[in-house]
Amino acid sequence: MNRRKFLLRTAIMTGGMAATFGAGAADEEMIDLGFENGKRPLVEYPQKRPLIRVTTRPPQLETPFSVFNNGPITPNDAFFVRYHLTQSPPPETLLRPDRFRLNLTGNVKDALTFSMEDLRRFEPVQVTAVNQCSGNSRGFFKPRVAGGQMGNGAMGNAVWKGARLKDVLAKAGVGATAKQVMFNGLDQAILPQTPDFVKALDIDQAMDGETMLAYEMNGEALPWLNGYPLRLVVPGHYGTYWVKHLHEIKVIDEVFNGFWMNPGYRIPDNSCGCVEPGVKPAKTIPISRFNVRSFLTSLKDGDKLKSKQAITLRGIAFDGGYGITEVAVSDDEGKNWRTAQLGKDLGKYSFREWTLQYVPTAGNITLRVKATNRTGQSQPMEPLWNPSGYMRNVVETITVSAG
Amino acid sequence: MSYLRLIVGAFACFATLSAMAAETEWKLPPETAKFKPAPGSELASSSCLLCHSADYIIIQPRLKREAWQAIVVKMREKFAAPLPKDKDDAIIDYLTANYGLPAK
Repeated sequence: MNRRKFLLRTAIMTGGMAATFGAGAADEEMIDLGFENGKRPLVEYPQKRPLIRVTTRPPQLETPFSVFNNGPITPNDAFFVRYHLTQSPPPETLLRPDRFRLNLTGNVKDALTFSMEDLRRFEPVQVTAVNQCSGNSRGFFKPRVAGGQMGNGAMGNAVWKGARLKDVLAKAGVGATAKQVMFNGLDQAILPQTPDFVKALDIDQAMDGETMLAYEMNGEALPWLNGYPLRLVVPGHYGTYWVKHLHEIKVIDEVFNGFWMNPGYRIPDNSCGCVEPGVKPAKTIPISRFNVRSFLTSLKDGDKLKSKQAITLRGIAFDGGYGITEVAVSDDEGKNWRTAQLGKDLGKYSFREWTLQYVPTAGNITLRVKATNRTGQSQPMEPLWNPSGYMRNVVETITVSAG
Repeated sequence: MSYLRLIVGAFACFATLSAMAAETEWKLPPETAKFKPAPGSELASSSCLLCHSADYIIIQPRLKREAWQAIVVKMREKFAAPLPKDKDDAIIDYLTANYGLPAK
Protein backbone atom coordinates (compact mmCIF):
# COMPACT_ATOMS: atom_id res chain seq x y z
CA MET A 1 0.00 0.00 0.00
CA ASN A 2 1.04 3.53 -0.69
CA ARG A 3 -0.44 4.84 2.49
CA ARG A 4 2.69 6.76 3.45
CA LYS A 5 2.40 8.92 0.40
CA PHE A 6 -1.04 10.12 1.44
CA LEU A 7 -0.94 9.89 5.19
CA LEU A 8 2.05 11.54 6.66
CA ARG A 9 2.32 11.57 10.37
CA THR A 10 3.14 15.12 11.13
CA ALA A 11 3.26 17.37 14.08
CA ILE A 12 1.00 20.19 12.96
CA MET A 13 1.63 22.55 15.76
CA THR A 14 4.70 24.14 17.13
CA GLY A 15 5.70 23.30 20.67
CA GLY A 16 4.62 26.75 21.80
CA MET A 17 1.08 26.34 20.55
CA ALA A 18 0.84 22.85 21.97
CA ALA A 19 1.79 24.26 25.33
CA THR A 20 -0.91 26.92 25.03
CA PHE A 21 -3.70 24.59 24.05
CA GLY A 22 -2.68 21.50 25.96
CA ALA A 23 -1.95 18.02 24.78
CA GLY A 24 -3.97 16.00 22.33
CA ALA A 25 -3.55 17.74 19.03
CA ALA A 26 0.21 17.95 18.87
CA ASP A 27 0.67 14.77 16.86
CA GLU A 28 -2.31 14.55 14.54
CA GLU A 29 -2.24 12.38 11.48
CA MET A 30 -2.40 14.44 8.29
CA ILE A 31 -4.08 13.57 5.04
CA ASP A 32 -3.40 15.19 1.66
CA LEU A 33 -6.55 15.75 -0.41
CA GLY A 34 -4.57 16.20 -3.61
CA PHE A 35 -5.03 19.90 -4.37
CA GLU A 36 -3.02 22.99 -3.40
CA ASN A 37 -3.33 23.82 0.33
CA GLY A 38 -5.16 20.52 0.79
CA LYS A 39 -3.34 19.01 3.79
CA ARG A 40 -5.77 18.38 6.65
CA PRO A 41 -5.58 16.82 10.09
CA LEU A 42 -7.54 13.73 11.04
CA VAL A 43 -9.37 14.67 14.24
CA GLU A 44 -11.63 12.73 16.58
CA TYR A 45 -15.02 14.23 17.43
CA PRO A 46 -17.78 12.91 19.73
CA GLN A 47 -19.34 9.73 18.27
CA LYS A 48 -16.93 9.93 15.33
CA ARG A 49 -13.81 8.07 14.28
CA PRO A 50 -10.96 10.40 13.22
CA LEU A 51 -12.29 12.41 10.27
CA ILE A 52 -10.69 14.94 7.95
CA ARG A 53 -11.12 18.33 9.57
CA VAL A 54 -11.83 21.07 7.06
CA THR A 55 -12.75 23.72 9.65
CA THR A 56 -13.06 23.86 13.43
CA ARG A 57 -15.84 26.38 14.22
CA PRO A 58 -18.42 25.73 13.00
CA PRO A 59 -17.23 22.18 12.30
CA GLN A 60 -16.83 20.82 8.80
CA LEU A 61 -15.48 17.27 8.69
CA GLU A 62 -15.15 14.99 5.70
CA THR A 63 -15.02 11.24 5.40
CA PRO A 64 -11.64 9.65 4.54
CA PHE A 65 -12.18 8.31 1.01
CA SER A 66 -11.05 4.78 1.91
CA VAL A 67 -14.33 4.38 3.86
CA PHE A 68 -16.27 4.27 0.58
CA ASN A 69 -14.53 1.02 -0.37
CA ASN A 70 -15.95 -0.76 2.67
CA GLY A 71 -19.52 -1.17 1.42
CA PRO A 72 -22.45 0.93 0.24
CA ILE A 73 -23.51 2.16 3.70
CA THR A 74 -21.44 4.88 5.34
CA PRO A 75 -21.16 4.20 9.09
CA ASN A 76 -22.51 6.91 11.39
CA ASP A 77 -19.11 7.45 12.97
CA ALA A 78 -17.59 8.12 9.53
CA PHE A 79 -20.38 10.32 8.12
CA PHE A 80 -19.38 13.85 7.04
CA VAL A 81 -20.35 16.97 9.01
CA ARG A 82 -21.12 20.42 7.71
CA TYR A 83 -22.44 23.42 9.69
CA HIS A 84 -22.84 27.10 8.84
CA LEU A 85 -23.28 29.04 12.08
CA THR A 86 -20.83 29.46 14.92
CA GLN A 87 -23.02 28.00 17.68
CA SER A 88 -23.03 24.56 16.11
CA PRO A 89 -23.83 21.91 16.98
CA PRO A 90 -26.37 23.17 19.54
CA PRO A 91 -25.60 22.20 23.15
CA GLU A 92 -26.86 18.82 24.25
CA THR A 93 -29.07 20.45 26.92
CA LEU A 94 -31.33 21.87 24.18
CA LEU A 95 -31.67 18.49 22.46
CA ARG A 96 -32.73 16.26 25.35
CA PRO A 97 -36.09 14.51 24.84
CA ASP A 98 -37.70 16.38 27.77
CA ARG A 99 -36.68 19.71 26.28
CA PHE A 100 -36.68 19.26 22.51
CA ARG A 101 -39.87 20.16 20.60
CA LEU A 102 -40.74 20.59 16.93
CA ASN A 103 -43.08 23.52 16.26
CA LEU A 104 -45.26 23.57 13.16
CA THR A 105 -46.81 26.96 12.36
CA GLY A 106 -47.84 29.21 9.48
CA ASN A 107 -50.62 28.53 7.03
CA VAL A 108 -52.02 25.44 8.77
CA LYS A 109 -55.40 24.75 10.33
CA ASP A 110 -53.83 23.90 13.70
CA ALA A 111 -50.40 25.01 14.78
CA LEU A 112 -48.87 22.01 16.53
CA THR A 113 -45.97 21.15 18.82
CA PHE A 114 -44.42 17.68 18.75
CA SER A 115 -42.12 15.90 21.16
CA MET A 116 -39.89 13.17 19.75
CA GLU A 117 -42.31 10.69 21.26
CA ASP A 118 -45.17 12.29 19.30
CA LEU A 119 -43.18 12.06 16.07
CA ARG A 120 -42.43 8.39 16.63
CA ARG A 121 -46.18 7.71 16.69
CA PHE A 122 -46.50 8.56 12.99
CA GLU A 123 -46.11 5.53 10.71
CA PRO A 124 -42.32 5.04 10.49
CA VAL A 125 -40.78 4.89 7.03
CA GLN A 126 -37.27 4.08 5.86
CA VAL A 127 -35.15 5.09 2.90
CA THR A 128 -31.56 4.38 1.94
CA ALA A 129 -30.32 7.68 0.60
CA VAL A 130 -27.14 9.54 -0.21
CA ASN A 131 -26.54 12.88 1.44
CA GLN A 132 -24.01 14.99 -0.41
CA CYS A 133 -22.79 18.49 0.30
CA SER A 134 -23.41 20.96 -2.55
CA GLY A 135 -19.71 21.79 -2.45
CA ASN A 136 -18.41 18.24 -2.28
CA SER A 137 -15.12 18.13 -4.26
CA ARG A 138 -14.89 21.95 -4.40
CA GLY A 139 -11.13 21.79 -3.80
CA PHE A 140 -10.70 20.24 -7.27
CA PHE A 141 -12.28 23.19 -9.09
CA LYS A 142 -10.03 24.88 -11.65
CA PRO A 143 -9.88 27.80 -11.37
CA ARG A 144 -10.28 27.41 -7.62
CA VAL A 145 -13.19 29.09 -5.84
CA ALA A 146 -13.61 30.25 -2.23
CA GLY A 147 -15.67 28.15 0.19
CA GLY A 148 -15.29 24.93 2.16
CA GLN A 149 -12.29 23.27 0.50
CA MET A 150 -13.38 19.64 0.44
CA GLY A 151 -12.08 16.60 -1.38
CA ASN A 152 -14.57 13.91 -2.38
CA GLY A 153 -15.54 12.97 1.18
CA ALA A 154 -18.49 15.31 1.83
CA MET A 155 -20.96 12.58 0.93
CA GLY A 156 -22.37 9.47 2.56
CA ASN A 157 -25.12 6.88 2.24
CA ALA A 158 -27.30 5.82 5.16
CA VAL A 159 -30.58 4.14 6.02
CA TRP A 160 -32.80 6.94 7.35
CA LYS A 161 -35.88 6.25 9.43
CA GLY A 162 -38.53 8.69 10.52
CA ALA A 163 -41.97 10.13 9.86
CA ARG A 164 -43.16 11.33 6.47
CA LEU A 165 -43.20 15.13 6.42
CA LYS A 166 -46.46 14.76 4.49
CA ASP A 167 -48.14 12.95 7.40
CA VAL A 168 -46.99 15.53 9.93
CA LEU A 169 -48.14 18.43 7.72
CA ALA A 170 -51.47 16.69 7.07
CA LYS A 171 -52.07 16.39 10.81
CA ALA A 172 -51.83 20.19 11.08
CA GLY A 173 -53.86 20.71 7.88
CA VAL A 174 -52.07 22.71 5.18
CA GLY A 175 -53.89 25.80 3.88
CA ALA A 176 -54.99 25.85 0.23
CA THR A 177 -52.78 28.84 -0.65
CA ALA A 178 -49.56 27.34 0.76
CA LYS A 179 -46.60 27.73 -1.56
CA GLN A 180 -43.51 26.70 0.41
CA VAL A 181 -42.46 25.17 3.71
CA MET A 182 -39.60 26.65 5.75
CA PHE A 183 -37.25 24.63 7.96
CA ASN A 184 -35.11 25.93 10.81
CA GLY A 185 -32.72 24.10 13.12
CA LEU A 186 -31.31 24.92 16.56
CA ASP A 187 -27.85 25.81 15.28
CA GLN A 188 -27.32 29.54 15.73
CA ALA A 189 -25.17 32.48 14.78
CA ILE A 190 -23.70 34.64 17.51
CA LEU A 191 -24.77 38.02 16.05
CA PRO A 192 -28.51 38.59 15.69
CA GLN A 193 -27.96 40.27 12.29
CA THR A 194 -26.31 37.14 10.80
CA PRO A 195 -28.92 35.29 8.72
CA ASP A 196 -30.16 32.19 10.49
CA PHE A 197 -29.76 28.95 8.57
CA VAL A 198 -33.30 28.51 7.23
CA LYS A 199 -34.18 26.52 4.10
CA ALA A 200 -37.40 26.09 2.13
CA LEU A 201 -38.99 23.52 -0.16
CA ASP A 202 -41.96 23.94 -2.49
CA ILE A 203 -45.16 22.59 -0.98
CA ASP A 204 -45.43 19.83 -3.61
CA GLN A 205 -42.04 18.52 -2.66
CA ALA A 206 -42.80 18.76 1.06
CA MET A 207 -45.96 16.72 0.42
CA ASP A 208 -44.37 14.14 -1.94
CA GLY A 209 -44.31 11.42 0.72
CA GLU A 210 -40.53 10.97 0.41
CA THR A 211 -39.31 14.00 2.32
CA MET A 212 -38.82 12.74 5.85
CA LEU A 213 -38.40 13.92 9.42
CA ALA A 214 -35.66 11.45 10.36
CA TYR A 215 -34.75 10.42 13.89
CA GLU A 216 -32.69 7.33 13.06
CA MET A 217 -29.66 6.77 10.90
CA ASN A 218 -28.43 3.23 10.23
CA GLY A 219 -30.58 1.89 13.07
CA GLU A 220 -29.37 4.32 15.72
CA ALA A 221 -30.31 7.78 16.95
CA LEU A 222 -28.78 10.47 14.73
CA PRO A 223 -25.27 11.39 15.88
CA TRP A 224 -25.04 14.78 17.61
CA LEU A 225 -23.03 16.17 14.67
CA ASN A 226 -25.51 14.87 12.09
CA GLY A 227 -28.59 16.55 13.54
CA TYR A 228 -29.67 14.76 16.73
CA PRO A 229 -32.49 14.30 17.53
CA LEU A 230 -34.29 15.24 14.27
CA ARG A 231 -33.29 16.26 10.77
CA LEU A 232 -34.93 16.73 7.43
CA VAL A 233 -34.10 14.08 4.82
CA VAL A 234 -34.71 15.12 1.22
CA PRO A 235 -33.74 12.07 -0.88
CA GLY A 236 -31.85 12.86 -4.07
CA HIS A 237 -31.27 16.48 -3.05
CA TYR A 238 -28.15 18.25 -1.84
CA GLY A 239 -27.40 18.29 1.88
CA THR A 240 -28.17 22.00 2.21
CA TYR A 241 -31.87 21.06 2.53
CA TRP A 242 -31.30 18.34 5.14
CA VAL A 243 -31.74 20.78 8.04
CA LYS A 244 -30.26 19.41 11.27
CA HIS A 245 -31.64 19.73 14.83
CA LEU A 246 -34.89 20.68 13.09
CA HIS A 247 -37.19 22.49 15.51
CA GLU A 248 -39.32 24.84 13.41
CA ILE A 249 -41.43 24.20 10.35
CA LYS A 250 -43.52 27.01 8.88
CA VAL A 251 -45.94 26.79 5.97
CA ILE A 252 -45.88 30.01 3.93
CA ASP A 253 -47.83 31.52 1.02
CA GLU A 254 -44.82 32.97 -0.79
CA VAL A 255 -41.36 31.95 -1.97
CA PHE A 256 -38.89 32.25 0.91
CA ASN A 257 -35.92 34.41 -0.02
CA GLY A 258 -33.72 34.23 3.08
CA PHE A 259 -29.94 34.43 2.62
CA TRP A 260 -29.39 30.65 2.46
CA MET A 261 -31.94 30.36 -0.39
CA ASN A 262 -31.02 33.61 -2.15
CA PRO A 263 -28.22 34.45 -2.83
CA GLY A 264 -26.89 31.36 -0.98
CA TYR A 265 -26.87 27.90 -2.54
CA ARG A 266 -27.80 28.87 -6.08
CA ILE A 267 -26.60 27.55 -9.43
CA PRO A 268 -26.72 28.97 -12.96
CA ASP A 269 -30.20 28.53 -14.42
CA ASN A 270 -29.31 26.22 -17.31
CA SER A 271 -29.20 22.49 -17.98
CA CYS A 272 -25.62 21.99 -16.73
CA GLY A 273 -25.73 24.41 -13.79
CA CYS A 274 -22.47 25.73 -15.19
CA VAL A 275 -20.82 28.75 -16.82
CA GLU A 276 -17.45 29.43 -18.43
CA PRO A 277 -14.84 29.91 -15.68
CA GLY A 278 -14.91 33.46 -14.37
CA VAL A 279 -18.30 34.32 -15.88
CA LYS A 280 -21.10 35.61 -13.66
CA PRO A 281 -24.32 33.65 -14.33
CA ALA A 282 -27.08 35.75 -15.91
CA LYS A 283 -29.79 34.03 -13.85
CA THR A 284 -29.64 31.61 -10.94
CA ILE A 285 -31.99 29.10 -9.29
CA PRO A 286 -31.76 27.22 -5.98
CA ILE A 287 -29.58 24.10 -6.15
CA SER A 288 -31.76 20.98 -6.04
CA ARG A 289 -31.12 17.42 -7.25
CA PHE A 290 -27.77 15.59 -7.45
CA ASN A 291 -26.28 15.02 -10.86
CA VAL A 292 -24.74 11.62 -11.71
CA ARG A 293 -21.46 10.65 -10.05
CA SER A 294 -19.30 7.55 -9.88
CA PHE A 295 -16.07 6.65 -8.15
CA LEU A 296 -13.46 3.94 -8.28
CA THR A 297 -12.82 3.16 -4.62
CA SER A 298 -10.53 0.12 -4.69
CA LEU A 299 -7.53 1.93 -6.18
CA LYS A 300 -5.97 5.31 -5.68
CA ASP A 301 -3.51 7.43 -7.62
CA GLY A 302 -0.02 5.96 -7.56
CA ASP A 303 -1.00 2.39 -6.72
CA LYS A 304 1.24 -0.27 -8.24
CA LEU A 305 -0.37 -3.34 -9.82
CA LYS A 306 1.05 -6.61 -11.14
CA SER A 307 0.73 -6.82 -14.92
CA LYS A 308 -1.32 -9.67 -16.38
CA GLN A 309 -2.76 -10.44 -12.95
CA ALA A 310 -6.54 -10.07 -12.81
CA ILE A 311 -7.96 -7.79 -10.12
CA THR A 312 -11.47 -6.69 -9.24
CA LEU A 313 -12.07 -2.98 -9.66
CA ARG A 314 -14.84 -1.73 -7.43
CA GLY A 315 -16.59 1.47 -6.61
CA ILE A 316 -19.85 3.33 -6.13
CA ALA A 317 -22.25 5.37 -8.27
CA PHE A 318 -25.33 7.48 -7.49
CA ASP A 319 -27.65 10.11 -8.89
CA GLY A 320 -30.57 12.31 -7.86
CA GLY A 321 -33.03 9.43 -7.62
CA TYR A 322 -33.74 8.14 -11.13
CA GLY A 323 -31.47 5.18 -10.43
CA ILE A 324 -28.11 4.14 -11.88
CA THR A 325 -28.47 1.85 -14.89
CA GLU A 326 -24.88 1.56 -16.09
CA VAL A 327 -21.32 2.04 -14.89
CA ALA A 328 -18.45 1.74 -17.36
CA VAL A 329 -14.67 1.88 -17.11
CA SER A 330 -12.13 3.02 -19.69
CA ASP A 331 -8.35 2.65 -19.69
CA ASP A 332 -7.77 4.42 -23.00
CA GLU A 333 -8.82 8.06 -22.45
CA GLY A 334 -12.48 7.20 -22.97
CA LYS A 335 -12.19 5.68 -26.45
CA ASN A 336 -13.51 2.30 -25.27
CA TRP A 337 -15.65 1.55 -22.27
CA ARG A 338 -16.27 -1.76 -20.51
CA THR A 339 -19.54 -2.19 -18.66
CA ALA A 340 -19.20 -3.01 -14.97
CA GLN A 341 -21.43 -5.33 -13.00
CA LEU A 342 -23.84 -3.50 -10.71
CA GLY A 343 -24.15 -4.62 -7.09
CA LYS A 344 -27.29 -5.04 -5.02
CA ASP A 345 -29.98 -2.43 -5.65
CA LEU A 346 -30.63 -0.71 -2.31
CA GLY A 347 -33.07 1.76 -3.84
CA LYS A 348 -32.89 4.59 -6.31
CA TYR A 349 -31.46 7.10 -3.79
CA SER A 350 -28.65 4.84 -2.56
CA PHE A 351 -25.02 4.34 -3.52
CA ARG A 352 -24.95 1.55 -6.10
CA GLU A 353 -21.88 -0.64 -5.86
CA TRP A 354 -20.12 -1.83 -9.01
CA THR A 355 -17.32 -4.27 -9.80
CA LEU A 356 -15.31 -5.13 -12.88
CA GLN A 357 -12.66 -7.77 -13.49
CA TYR A 358 -9.59 -6.11 -14.92
CA VAL A 359 -6.25 -7.38 -16.20
CA PRO A 360 -3.63 -4.63 -16.24
CA THR A 361 -0.92 -4.52 -18.90
CA ALA A 362 2.55 -3.22 -18.03
CA GLY A 363 3.05 0.53 -17.94
CA ASN A 364 1.09 3.56 -16.71
CA ILE A 365 -2.65 3.09 -16.67
CA THR A 366 -5.28 5.82 -16.48
CA LEU A 367 -8.65 4.50 -15.41
CA ARG A 368 -11.84 6.47 -15.92
CA VAL A 369 -15.25 5.62 -14.50
CA LYS A 370 -18.57 6.89 -15.79
CA ALA A 371 -22.15 6.19 -14.73
CA THR A 372 -25.47 6.68 -16.51
CA ASN A 373 -28.90 6.89 -14.93
CA ARG A 374 -32.37 5.78 -16.02
CA THR A 375 -33.05 9.07 -17.83
CA GLY A 376 -29.79 8.84 -19.79
CA GLN A 377 -27.94 11.49 -17.76
CA SER A 378 -24.25 10.77 -17.47
CA GLN A 379 -21.01 12.53 -16.52
CA PRO A 380 -18.87 14.98 -18.51
CA MET A 381 -15.30 14.07 -19.50
CA GLU A 382 -14.19 17.64 -18.68
CA PRO A 383 -15.24 19.29 -15.41
CA LEU A 384 -18.05 21.85 -15.40
CA TRP A 385 -17.51 25.12 -13.52
CA ASN A 386 -19.70 27.51 -11.55
CA PRO A 387 -18.75 30.38 -9.22
CA SER A 388 -19.78 28.62 -5.99
CA GLY A 389 -18.00 25.35 -6.66
CA TYR A 390 -21.12 23.19 -6.58
CA MET A 391 -22.16 19.94 -8.27
CA ARG A 392 -18.79 18.67 -9.47
CA ASN A 393 -19.41 15.44 -11.38
CA VAL A 394 -16.61 15.03 -13.92
CA VAL A 395 -15.67 11.49 -14.99
CA GLU A 396 -13.12 10.62 -12.28
CA THR A 397 -9.62 9.58 -13.28
CA ILE A 398 -7.19 7.39 -11.34
CA THR A 399 -3.63 6.87 -12.54
CA VAL A 400 -1.82 3.71 -11.49
CA SER A 401 1.00 1.62 -12.94
CA ALA A 402 1.58 -2.07 -13.58
CA GLY A 403 4.89 -3.89 -13.76
CA MET B 1 -39.05 -10.40 42.93
CA SER B 2 -36.96 -8.14 45.05
CA TYR B 3 -33.81 -9.47 43.39
CA LEU B 4 -35.32 -8.77 40.02
CA ARG B 5 -36.26 -5.30 41.14
CA LEU B 6 -32.74 -4.74 42.38
CA ILE B 7 -31.30 -5.87 39.09
CA VAL B 8 -33.71 -3.74 37.09
CA GLY B 9 -33.00 -0.82 39.39
CA ALA B 10 -29.26 -1.30 39.08
CA PHE B 11 -29.63 -1.48 35.32
CA ALA B 12 -31.70 1.69 35.18
CA CYS B 13 -29.16 3.40 37.38
CA PHE B 14 -26.31 2.20 35.21
CA ALA B 15 -28.14 3.24 32.05
CA THR B 16 -28.78 6.71 33.49
CA LEU B 17 -25.19 7.06 34.60
CA SER B 18 -23.79 5.93 31.27
CA ALA B 19 -26.24 8.19 29.45
CA MET B 20 -24.99 11.09 31.56
CA ALA B 21 -21.43 10.05 30.89
CA ALA B 22 -22.20 9.89 27.18
CA GLU B 23 -23.67 13.38 27.34
CA THR B 24 -20.70 14.87 29.06
CA GLU B 25 -18.52 13.28 26.40
CA TRP B 26 -20.19 15.51 23.81
CA LYS B 27 -17.43 18.06 23.83
CA LEU B 28 -15.82 19.48 20.75
CA PRO B 29 -12.04 19.36 20.42
CA PRO B 30 -10.23 22.64 21.18
CA GLU B 31 -9.89 25.35 18.57
CA THR B 32 -6.21 25.61 17.72
CA ALA B 33 -6.07 27.35 14.33
CA LYS B 34 -4.39 30.76 14.47
CA PHE B 35 -3.66 33.55 12.02
CA LYS B 36 -0.07 34.09 10.92
CA PRO B 37 1.34 36.89 13.05
CA ALA B 38 1.97 39.81 10.68
CA PRO B 39 0.79 43.42 10.31
CA GLY B 40 -3.02 43.19 10.30
CA SER B 41 -3.34 39.83 12.06
CA GLU B 42 -4.87 41.39 15.18
CA LEU B 43 -7.40 43.20 13.05
CA ALA B 44 -8.19 39.91 11.28
CA SER B 45 -8.66 38.20 14.64
CA SER B 46 -10.99 40.86 16.00
CA SER B 47 -12.99 41.03 12.74
CA CYS B 48 -13.33 37.35 11.83
CA LEU B 49 -13.03 35.11 14.87
CA LEU B 50 -16.31 36.04 16.53
CA CYS B 51 -18.18 33.97 13.91
CA HIS B 52 -15.66 31.39 12.72
CA SER B 53 -12.29 29.80 13.40
CA ALA B 54 -9.16 31.00 11.59
CA ASP B 55 -9.00 27.81 9.50
CA TYR B 56 -11.98 29.10 7.45
CA ILE B 57 -9.39 31.45 5.95
CA ILE B 58 -6.26 29.31 6.25
CA ILE B 59 -7.69 26.49 4.07
CA GLN B 60 -8.68 28.76 1.17
CA PRO B 61 -6.84 28.57 -2.15
CA ARG B 62 -4.49 31.44 -2.89
CA LEU B 63 -7.08 34.01 -3.90
CA LYS B 64 -6.34 37.30 -5.60
CA ARG B 65 -6.85 40.60 -3.80
CA GLU B 66 -10.19 41.22 -5.55
CA ALA B 67 -11.50 37.86 -4.31
CA TRP B 68 -10.50 38.65 -0.71
CA GLN B 69 -12.07 42.07 -1.08
CA ALA B 70 -15.37 40.50 -2.21
CA ILE B 71 -15.26 38.15 0.79
CA VAL B 72 -14.57 40.96 3.26
CA VAL B 73 -17.48 43.01 1.88
CA LYS B 74 -19.79 39.97 1.94
CA MET B 75 -18.85 39.20 5.54
CA ARG B 76 -19.72 42.72 6.66
CA GLU B 77 -22.82 43.27 4.52
CA LYS B 78 -24.39 39.80 4.63
CA PHE B 79 -23.14 38.39 7.94
CA ALA B 80 -22.70 41.59 9.99
CA ALA B 81 -19.01 40.98 10.70
CA PRO B 82 -17.64 43.65 13.08
CA LEU B 83 -15.36 45.13 10.45
CA PRO B 84 -15.04 48.92 10.26
CA LYS B 85 -15.24 50.12 6.66
CA ASP B 86 -12.15 52.28 7.04
CA LYS B 87 -10.11 49.17 7.91
CA ASP B 88 -10.96 47.36 4.66
CA ASP B 89 -7.59 47.98 3.03
CA ALA B 90 -5.66 46.84 6.09
CA ILE B 91 -7.50 43.54 6.41
CA ILE B 92 -7.58 42.83 2.67
CA ASP B 93 -3.83 43.52 2.53
CA TYR B 94 -3.26 41.09 5.39
CA LEU B 95 -5.35 38.34 3.82
CA THR B 96 -3.79 38.79 0.39
CA ALA B 97 -0.23 38.92 1.71
CA ASN B 98 -0.59 35.89 4.00
CA TYR B 99 -3.25 33.68 2.41
CA GLY B 100 -3.57 34.98 -1.13
CA LEU B 101 -1.77 35.78 -4.33
CA PRO B 102 -0.03 39.12 -3.80
CA ALA B 103 0.27 41.19 -6.99
CA LYS B 104 3.79 41.07 -8.37
